[in-house]
Amino acid sequence: MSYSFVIVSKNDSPIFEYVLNGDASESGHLNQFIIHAALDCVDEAQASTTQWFLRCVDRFNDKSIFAYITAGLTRFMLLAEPTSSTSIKSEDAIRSFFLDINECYLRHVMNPFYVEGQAISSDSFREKVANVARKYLL
Amino acid sequence: MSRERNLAKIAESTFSKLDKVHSEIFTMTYGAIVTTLVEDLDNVDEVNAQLDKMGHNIGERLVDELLAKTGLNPQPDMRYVMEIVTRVGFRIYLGITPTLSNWNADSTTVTLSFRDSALSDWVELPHTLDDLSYFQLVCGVIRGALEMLGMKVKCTITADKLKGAQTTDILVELQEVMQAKFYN
Repeated sequence: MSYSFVIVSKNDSPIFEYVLNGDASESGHLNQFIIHAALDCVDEAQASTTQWFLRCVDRFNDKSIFAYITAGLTRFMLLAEPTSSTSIKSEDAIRSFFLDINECYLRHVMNPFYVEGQAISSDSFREKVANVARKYLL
Repeated sequence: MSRERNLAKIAESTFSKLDKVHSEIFTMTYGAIVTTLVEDLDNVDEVNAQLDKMGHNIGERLVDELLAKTGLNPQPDMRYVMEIVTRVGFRIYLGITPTLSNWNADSTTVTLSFRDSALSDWVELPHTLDDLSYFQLVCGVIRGALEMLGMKVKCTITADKLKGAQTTDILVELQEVMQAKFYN
């Protein structure tokens, strides 16, 4: 099972990327492309629900893209790619993953030195995301 | 020991009477002040100086309120005054009680250290601001308050939790006990 996780600001620019169990090189670029394409589906899904967790918004071959939208219209995108031995985690696990990430993200946004929409370069944030990812996605 | 307990009791009863503000508002406001200074001023040293000056102005006024609300009337005795600062002042205004350590033999220098404070919740210093001392305002407050009590002190931050230290340490050095001057 490999995952790419991207945070997209409300102005559609990616501000954070984290890859779990995958190689960031060749398939990474494809994944970025798929996530980018899925943003349109997020807009659609967002219009038809009041939930923050938008479930699986798009699929590409065997990859599924899950999305979560925060109150401030920042989007969390998670691309899940099953490997031969494992299948995708349940939607509940992914929902919990997003909720915890939202908590970390809120904490980070509270930092007065962080300007909204800027790329997130904090090491401690990356570490927290890695912990949350290991907790729910492995 | 009984003096410490007494001060703690005074702090608690005063604290319960004071108006409170939500710590998140307080944190964000202080954060906004610091970031605005960083944006407006040319270099970090100037920001530190400005924070110190603002703190000094706050301290000069705050000490009056503190003494009026608690009914304390300290002599310029460094040990007693520093105990009031930590056990009463920090307790009622920041909700923390820093520890005092490393008194020198003639009681003129001391290190005041604290772990967490509402001032710096969620704050992470970017690497471009390594020289910024985020708590400089607190130094200014101590300096201003003690000045009103007739003691000129110098406050320096010797360790900063935002820069990876275990605690934030402020070294307070007494430089001069000011005598009241009368002119005729």
